[in-house]
Amino acid sequence: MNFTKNGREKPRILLVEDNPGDIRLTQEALKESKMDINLDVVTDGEQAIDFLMKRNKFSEVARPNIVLLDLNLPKKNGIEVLKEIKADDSLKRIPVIVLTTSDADHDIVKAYSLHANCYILKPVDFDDFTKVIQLIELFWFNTAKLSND
Amino acid sequence: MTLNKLMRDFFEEYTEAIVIIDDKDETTYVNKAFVQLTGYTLEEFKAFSLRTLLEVKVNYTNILSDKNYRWEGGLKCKDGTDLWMRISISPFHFEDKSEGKIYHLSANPTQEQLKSLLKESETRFTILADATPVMIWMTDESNLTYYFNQTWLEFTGSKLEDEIGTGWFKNVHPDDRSIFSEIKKLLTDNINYSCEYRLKRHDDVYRHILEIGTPRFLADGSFGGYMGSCLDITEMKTAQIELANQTKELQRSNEELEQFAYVASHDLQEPLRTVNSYVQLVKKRIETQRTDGLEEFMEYAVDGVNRMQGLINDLLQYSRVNRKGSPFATVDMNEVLKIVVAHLANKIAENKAQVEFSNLPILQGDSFQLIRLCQNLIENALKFKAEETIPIIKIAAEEKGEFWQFSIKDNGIGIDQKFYNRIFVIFQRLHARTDYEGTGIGLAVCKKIVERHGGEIWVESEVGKGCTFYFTIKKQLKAL
Repeated sequence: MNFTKNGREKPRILLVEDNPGDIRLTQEALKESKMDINLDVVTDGEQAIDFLMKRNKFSEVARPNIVLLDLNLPKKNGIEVLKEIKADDSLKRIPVIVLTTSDADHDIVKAYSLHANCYILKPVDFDDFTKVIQLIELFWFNTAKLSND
Repeated sequence: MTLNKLMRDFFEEYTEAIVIIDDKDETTYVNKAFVQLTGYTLEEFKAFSLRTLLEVKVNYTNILSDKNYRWEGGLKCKDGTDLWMRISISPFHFEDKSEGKIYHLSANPTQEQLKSLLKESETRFTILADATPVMIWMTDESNLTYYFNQTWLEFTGSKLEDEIGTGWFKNVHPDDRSIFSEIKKLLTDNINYSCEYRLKRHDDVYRHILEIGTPRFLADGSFGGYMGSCLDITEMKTAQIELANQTKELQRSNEELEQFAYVASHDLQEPLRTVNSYVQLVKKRIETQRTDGLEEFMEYAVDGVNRMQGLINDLLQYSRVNRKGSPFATVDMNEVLKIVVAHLANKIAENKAQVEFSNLPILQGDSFQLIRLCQNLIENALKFKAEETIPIIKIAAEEKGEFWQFSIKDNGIGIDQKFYNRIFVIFQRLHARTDYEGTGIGLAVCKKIVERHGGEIWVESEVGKGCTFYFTIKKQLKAL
């Protein structure tokens, strides 16, 4: 699936993030990019799983093409969410990009051990943040070929 | 038949009896030791034949060679008593090369002497056994105890007749009695064992005992019972436990420190990053002369600064619990609650909440910290109230052994069981910031305060029906 040239579907990103400032920043960064992306946001780990499983209030949502996952989340932390996604046969093919402020070795090792597709540190600078979001778009929606199911 | 001087001098000083006879069986020499032992002088002794005096009781199987042999036998002394002797005979050559025999007689103890020797040995054992700090017991072959040393009797404060047989067993701690049925199984193999149990001392205090049991075997090799030595290792045990506690405390504080460093770098950077990003966004808008979103961006920036300030304050408070705590003093928990209610008067009024407490105990503690503890818990109860319900918060206390156990019960939204532990970890939040404010530090502070007061904190809840926070405070407290 190639999303850039009059694709039938808009690429969908699920952002799992509890910090409203970061949610807004992500939206702003996406606005600055050329792509038309559908961004869904959930603010804790349990909602993330419910969203992906289309449970409870998320029964009508569309499955995302990629997940941007923060690690420090209420209720269920990012590592637990990652573990559940990668243990589920229907979800494990969705690329999960860990986007966090934690540069702790044990978080990085843990995330990759649990098959995170990518681990990115949230840049402190807005321009860098925009660049990272654009790089994610460019790589995951233009360069990489994603599974269709 | 004469002896040369050197030999004579030697024999005279020799401590055991020597008799020399010539080739005609005539006694030619007895030494000083012989005279002392038997009372016979050489002249007197010459009148007897040695053979008639030595009662040969042992046959000659003990012959070492055709010329040397030894046996045991009785010798009638001059005063009529019988001396039991070990006798050995070897060939002897006089100076003139004529042959003779030398009798070497060493006195064996008599039955009487044996008895007294045995008694002496027993006394020696008893003195030794009673003087040693180790408790000693002995059992017979049917495993009934028939001996306890003085150390044991002084320890238990019992008389021997109360302890023998199975009498001692009543002083073993009920929880440790099963150890002995385990040991009984081992005893059938007559092996050494060691075990630990608690034994009641004369002052009714249970002490930790280390016991080592060894089988005893009789002279004929048959099993004669067990002998045990027991040592009071309570002090060692206490030191061990204390060391383990200290190690645990060190581990805990290390983990806390690690968590603290992680938190400081991670959680403090987050608002900083927010502020930085939004200030940049504002700058961009100004550069491009756009005004859309400006107000919103400024709000995020200000919010970030506020959040950061909150975090730093909370972190400081958290780190101060152990570092800057006051010494423990007498604290009336009713007064503590009154102060908390006064502090929270506005919030309580806003929520039309009811806070109920009565008959709370007076205890030893840090009053400022106990206020902080109760205030955090009651604030939480107000914050997580159920919708369209009047919050009712009930504080109660009851005595539980060495602790006071407090409960703070609310009728709020409750907490899912799977979060029972996580809520006490620093900066762990259950709710998105948009739903409930807070830095996730309040309960971590509570936990730390309770731990400083030697207690524990936990929660029980049913989602939708409210929750009850419990914490304990140790009654006899030394400040950490």
